[in-house]
Amino acid sequence: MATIARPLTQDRAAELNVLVRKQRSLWQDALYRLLRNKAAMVGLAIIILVGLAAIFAPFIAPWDPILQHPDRNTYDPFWGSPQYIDHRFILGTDQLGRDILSRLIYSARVSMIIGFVPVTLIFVIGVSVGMVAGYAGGWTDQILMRVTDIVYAFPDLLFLLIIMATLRGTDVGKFGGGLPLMFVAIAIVNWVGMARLMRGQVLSLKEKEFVEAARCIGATPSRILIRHLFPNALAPAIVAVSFAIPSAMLTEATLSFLGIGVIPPTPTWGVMINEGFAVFTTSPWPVVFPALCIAVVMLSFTFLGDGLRDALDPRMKI
Amino acid sequence: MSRFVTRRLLQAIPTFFGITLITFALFRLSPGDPVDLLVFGVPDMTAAQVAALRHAYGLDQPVPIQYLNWLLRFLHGDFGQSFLYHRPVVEMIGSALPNTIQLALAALLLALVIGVPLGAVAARSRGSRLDQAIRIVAVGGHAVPGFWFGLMFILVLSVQVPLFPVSGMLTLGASQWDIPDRLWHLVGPALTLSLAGIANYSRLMRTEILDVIRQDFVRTARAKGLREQSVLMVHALRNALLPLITGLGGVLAFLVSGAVIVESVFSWPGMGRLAYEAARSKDYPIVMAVVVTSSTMLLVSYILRDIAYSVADPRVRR
Repeated sequence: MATIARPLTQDRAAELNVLVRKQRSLWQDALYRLLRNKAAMVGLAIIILVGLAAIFAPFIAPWDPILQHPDRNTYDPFWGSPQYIDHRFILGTDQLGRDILSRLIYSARVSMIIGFVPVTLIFVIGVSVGMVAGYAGGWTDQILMRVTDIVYAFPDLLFLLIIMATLRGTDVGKFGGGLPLMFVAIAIVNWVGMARLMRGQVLSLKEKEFVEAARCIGATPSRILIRHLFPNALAPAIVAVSFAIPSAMLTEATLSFLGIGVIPPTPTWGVMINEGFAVFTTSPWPVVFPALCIAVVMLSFTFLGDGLRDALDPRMKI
Repeated sequence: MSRFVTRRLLQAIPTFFGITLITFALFRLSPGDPVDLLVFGVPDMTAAQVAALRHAYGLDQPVPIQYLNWLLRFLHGDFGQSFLYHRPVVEMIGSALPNTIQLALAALLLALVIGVPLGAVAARSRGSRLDQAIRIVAVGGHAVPGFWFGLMFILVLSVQVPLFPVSGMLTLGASQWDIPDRLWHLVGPALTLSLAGIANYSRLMRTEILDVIRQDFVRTARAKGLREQSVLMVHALRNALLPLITGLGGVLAFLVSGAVIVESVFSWPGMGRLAYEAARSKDYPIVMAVVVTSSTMLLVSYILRDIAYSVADPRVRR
């Protein structure tokens, strides 16, 4: 964005030339900015790596994650003192003699699923409710917003605690190791943020000329919503999603740590910390490794989210 | 102005009833009730006795009637009795609430006292190593799960090097008004709870200061020859603080929610721990009371925040 006062130097001419040769859309522009952001790219690389580990867990994990070796419990990682290591358990074993490395890899599965499934639900519910409320206005808006108010005024963790504590013991809750219940619980608690965000976007966009123009040529409300408003309101929603994913993972870890999350023996990082804590003074490794995994994945998503925000909204960049 | 406040208060009423309705429904529609828990300890009870017990507690009535009964009693200021502890719920909330408020206020204070200067320093030396280091601290504060930091605090500073108490609010047998002892117990939980707040405030502060610094009045201050120190600390900082004050509502929401975990980790006898234990044992009168008090706190803080916004920016009053 050169100012008008700037003389047309050779640089500027070259710049203009580039512009003529290759016009980039908003999205290409954003992608270009994102690719140049080192922290975001490192984050993305780590996320892809963890994702691959999650997908191919059965092939790369050396052991069955719930196979116990009672005679080989709480072994140290490979750098430990010789009498407490076993070269077959690279990162050692937990108090039940389960291979920590294999459990970490399988936990990545749960974390990735917890990261993506509820966030998809959040995106779908939040975007539809927010956009409809913002565009329709009037009574529809009032009713939808009062519903979001209810969820918004519920302290997050208290709500999750209540949902998990009441439903975890039931057949619905036990289904699939407690994962589906967790998806729904996280989605119910978190869709309101997305809905409010999209409503605000639509409220400010719907007065713009391009929407008026679309209305003038007879576009139906649903067409305006989907073809005109949605693409224009998408950027902040994408940024919100990139922060919702790690927050969902963290919620799972927290609930599992409190003992009301995923039902053991399904390994997750939160479950591992919860179980490993009992033997922390004997062997810190069953807690240290999953905690490290959580921190690294959280950091990666935060960097990626920051990068996305900077790329999609250059005004925010300082 | 008074119209705006009245409207916000009126809007809060349906929200409030929605929250109580959802909680009640979750508890009473999921299988199992507190009587099961009572009977569990007394195996030789006859079916007739169990039924009589249910009848005595009004648990044999249809759920909507039970809700109305609860509501009627609640409107008369009666929260009922705890099934588990056989004590009036009001009494239990009365002893837990001050503890949670104490913890939340301490955490808020820490977040402000540590977060704001960190952000100001980062803004002042933007782009430098120091700025990078503070950024890493801020991102880390977001990425590391609160419960994990709490556990590490206990392990390192209470178990390995016994500097701080492992849990609780007071040393056994200490007087209620032993302030140093209270503060000593408060360090761990308050620091853990304030972690995310510190991260938030330092980032928000940095952004705000850098935003303010570009404005004309800062240029004027520089132009009239003030030292950089006083430009930043007097002119920029004061203006950058405004959004922090209006943003307190959101922070309070976080503290109320986050307290659930911190209280469980440090065995802090507050609302969060009360709710956690009550939810696990289906002691719904307690859970209802906790939900009512904490969401009232949240609703009030949201309304206060909106009022603060509308004072700062009259456009939102519409």
